Amino acid sequence: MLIAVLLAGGCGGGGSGGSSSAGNGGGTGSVDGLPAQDGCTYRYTLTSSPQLTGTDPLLASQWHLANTGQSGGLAGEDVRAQAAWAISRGEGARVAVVDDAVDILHPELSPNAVAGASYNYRTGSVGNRWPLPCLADETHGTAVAGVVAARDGNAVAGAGVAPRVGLVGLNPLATSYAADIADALGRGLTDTGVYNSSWGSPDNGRPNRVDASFGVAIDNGITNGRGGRGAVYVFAAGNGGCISTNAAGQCVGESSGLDGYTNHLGVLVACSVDHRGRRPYYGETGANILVCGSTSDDAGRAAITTLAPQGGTRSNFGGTSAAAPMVSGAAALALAANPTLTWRDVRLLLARTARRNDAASPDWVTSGPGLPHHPEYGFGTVDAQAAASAARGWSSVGGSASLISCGPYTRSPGLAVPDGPAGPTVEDSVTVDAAGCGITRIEHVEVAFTASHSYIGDLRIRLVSPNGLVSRLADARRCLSGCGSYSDWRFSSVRHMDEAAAGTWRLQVTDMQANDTGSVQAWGLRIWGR
Amino acid sequence: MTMNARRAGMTLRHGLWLTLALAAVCGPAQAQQRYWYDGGERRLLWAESGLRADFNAAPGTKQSVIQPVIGDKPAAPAGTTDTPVYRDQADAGGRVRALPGGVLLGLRPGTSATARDALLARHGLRLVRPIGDRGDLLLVASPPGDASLDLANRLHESGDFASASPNWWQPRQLK
Repeated sequence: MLIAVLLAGGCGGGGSGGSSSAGNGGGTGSVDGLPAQDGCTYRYTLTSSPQLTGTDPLLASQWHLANTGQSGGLAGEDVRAQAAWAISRGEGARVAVVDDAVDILHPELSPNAVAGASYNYRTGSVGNRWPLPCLADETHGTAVAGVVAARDGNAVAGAGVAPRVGLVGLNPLATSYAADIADALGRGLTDTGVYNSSWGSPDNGRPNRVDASFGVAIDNGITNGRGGRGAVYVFAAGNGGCISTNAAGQCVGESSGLDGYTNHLGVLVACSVDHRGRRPYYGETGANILVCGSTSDDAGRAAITTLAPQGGTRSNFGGTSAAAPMVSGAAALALAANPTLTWRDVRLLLARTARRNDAASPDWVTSGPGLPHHPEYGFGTVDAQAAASAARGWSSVGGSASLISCGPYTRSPGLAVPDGPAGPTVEDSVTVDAAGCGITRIEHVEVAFTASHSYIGDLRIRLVSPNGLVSRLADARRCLSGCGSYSDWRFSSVRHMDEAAAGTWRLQVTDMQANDTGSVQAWGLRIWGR
Repeated sequence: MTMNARRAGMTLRHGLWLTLALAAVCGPAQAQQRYWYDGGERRLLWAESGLRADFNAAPGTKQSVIQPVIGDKPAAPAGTTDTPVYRDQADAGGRVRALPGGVLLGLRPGTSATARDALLARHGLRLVRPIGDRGDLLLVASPPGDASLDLANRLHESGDFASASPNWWQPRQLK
């Protein structure tokens, strides 16, 4: 086993608040194969150490793996990871953590790191190829990687959701260049089943469009990854759930529908719930959310225990950054249980096996053939045990090659939206003809939306299916620095999963705040499914 | 993300967001409009005169790529790469982007390796590396700043490639 050792400089890496500890490196050794990273706070060298066995000392505090109430939360409000390990621990599957840096020399990660598969965008082809933390605050990716893939049963720290999965570390956020992002999302596609991205657009209430190179990378990954079965791209929904407050002091936030990354076909959007199974105030809602993972509560209590650079641990990890890798870990367990699953299978599997958290919430809606869905929780909290179990007998729906697309069905209504507050609602519709669209089970819906409005944060936008199910595409909000515009903005929804496409779809727009006016200029509907 | 940052509704990183927030107050004064090609779409850009990008900061320092321009913009020291900053929309909240150098080139389907090499030679391009596992998306070299924007536009408008866009730098938020 390789162990990273702090040679000089560096100060923590555990983040602020909570607790962190230094690693257990075992003295300095040679620097063979690990050229120095000039200017970096962290320094590494390589030593060898025997692989230990034994109970992981922090496992009992990792309530997200098996919640017994140890953090003061509700027993059972977890992602059922420990229960899943009787079926799979992730052996044979591979997860890439796409982030700012990943300490793949960490004693908890190095046993799972796939030799030669990681890449360092900071240095490119020069110097070492390992995406190790360089600056003292580059702690994020290591924490994310720990949630997915920390090794179990080695008497060190705790464990990840998929503690025997193959781990790939990629650090394109170290540069944040378009080429590096696109490269990371397409690197190792032959073998990598899941790419975890606990990052995205700024959470500022504004529609933040992504460049075409991102879409090209995702399209390629779901079409050509794993020999045509496709890669699973997990993205965090975001933490903009409370970017402002209303007159009553209640949080007003943005939706994951305003992040261009999370609206793209093939992106699996992960939300977050706390140890009581409820959305923390910062968690974003959205029609594109599929399932949730666990995270810290409103006050930052009961945060996630995971890893810090230089062999350290931390108990203060939160946000949807913590939740997304739990969903990635569950996806990896399913893929390990059944490597023939396609990217579409994994999405359907996770949705159908998700557990209804916060079951008393009145916003859970089931109607017609659709699955139970909640605007804050998608189809619920991911259930790794149920997903891994169902994976073994899953009948595949196929990959991208068999995915049917209908539309776009476009309209240019030039529909004036009367000033708010609260309405009236204006509506436009399109009809999908069953003879022209053979989708009987929807998997993904996209709405292209263009409006002329002096403050688009006033607008509440809803899509209503022929079956009467409602996708909340956007809610009224106040933006941090202007709301921008809706110019062919692409919302997406998974809320209509398993519904039929045919029938009349209605777009409803309401101005919820006073003083600005405008109109719906155009909109279009595209539907994917089988 | 830390809880304190979460309470503030955003994650601050390296002071970048703070810099952007300050810049948002100022806005893209005297905005100069440019354009670029995003896949097949021509998109507009607005120059942000209140900001500059420095891609040559000492590695490992906390210095943000984006720096405010205070007073008259100082001449960049020799050997550094002080480049313009653009916004996606005209207003002060428009997302920023900058040009670290390089152009992302999409090849037309079925382009052979020989044809690719001939295309690159004809346009005087040096291949930096293919992007991902595909053979049809390439990163080619260019100087940072507007030189890469100009080159990308010229390559796209040549019609020889499926796409050509600058290798943009953009801030991304950890969640």
